[in-house]
Amino acid sequence: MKQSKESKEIGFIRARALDDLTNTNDEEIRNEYLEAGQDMAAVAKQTQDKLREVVAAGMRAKLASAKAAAKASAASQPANMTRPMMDRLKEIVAEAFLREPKVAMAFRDGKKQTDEDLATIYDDLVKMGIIKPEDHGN
Amino acid sequence: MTTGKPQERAYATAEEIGEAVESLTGAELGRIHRAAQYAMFGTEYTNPLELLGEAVLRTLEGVGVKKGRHWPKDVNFVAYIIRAMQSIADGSSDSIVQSQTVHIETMAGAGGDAELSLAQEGFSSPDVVEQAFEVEETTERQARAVADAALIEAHFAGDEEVQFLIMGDKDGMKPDEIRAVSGMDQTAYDTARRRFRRGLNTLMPGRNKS
Repeated sequence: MKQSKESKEIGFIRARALDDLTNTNDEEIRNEYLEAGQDMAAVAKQTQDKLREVVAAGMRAKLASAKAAAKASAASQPANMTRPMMDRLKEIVAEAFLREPKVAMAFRDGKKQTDEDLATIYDDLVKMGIIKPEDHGN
Repeated sequence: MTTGKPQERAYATAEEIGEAVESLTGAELGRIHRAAQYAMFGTEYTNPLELLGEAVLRTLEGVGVKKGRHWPKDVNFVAYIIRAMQSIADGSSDSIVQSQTVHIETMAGAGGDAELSLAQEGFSSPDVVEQAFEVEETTERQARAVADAALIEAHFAGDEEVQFLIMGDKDGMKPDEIRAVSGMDQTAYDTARRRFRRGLNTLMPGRNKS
């Protein structure tokens, strides 16, 4: 849908009024406030208060969104600290493979797995939701 | 004539926007408020500060992301925020991608680098928006445009010279064209312009004046 004729016309009026304002010096603007019986200092304070309020709200929103992103990223990447001890980790992975033989087949490639491999498998199974650390006290 | 891609430019961070707000003088704040009043005509906004807040919020939302509004640091903050309000009032898109530099240069006009910078950011006069984009318009906005145009015309019904200005402005005529049609000389034209703008200062149709 295109702009209506009326919207286009008022758009031109707005543009011209704003151009005129650009060409008006500070002193004239101050006088116009006086003529209109408006307190420019009060208007300026109100305007700055509004600007501060919006900037503060915008900053808070940005911070909240950064925190949420950091939390999501931490949740998707279990840290070493949250892993159980290696012996327990092996048991948990073995239990998971017993429960999910297809997953076990996908992870085992016939080679002997090192502790590091098992830790990575553990992380992957947590990410996939097959292992729930909270079920094992982690 | 520039025909290549617009140059990479530096945009303000949220902190820099905050600093700009803190450093505004009383005169600049008075100017910004007045501009918000004019920009609000024909829109669904009911308070100039609402429109101003929207312009700042969109700028903050644009920080660090490609989409949205950005304050190019080589442009004065007051000039930027006034054009941002005008652009929102014109209903132009938030994520305008200008591919035709010819349009940018048409918009930049004689205003110099700051105007060019703003034009490259998608700030433009309504006629160029009309050429370049399909503008979505709400029924509310359309009704507001009709109501505000009628109010302005009624307010200046007894002032023939200002009526010429309004007619000319609505048709997108240039000042010299309006002078030619109306028979006003430069002084009469300038005086009528001042009368018109001062009249607008008192017109706040059904709106909260704060």
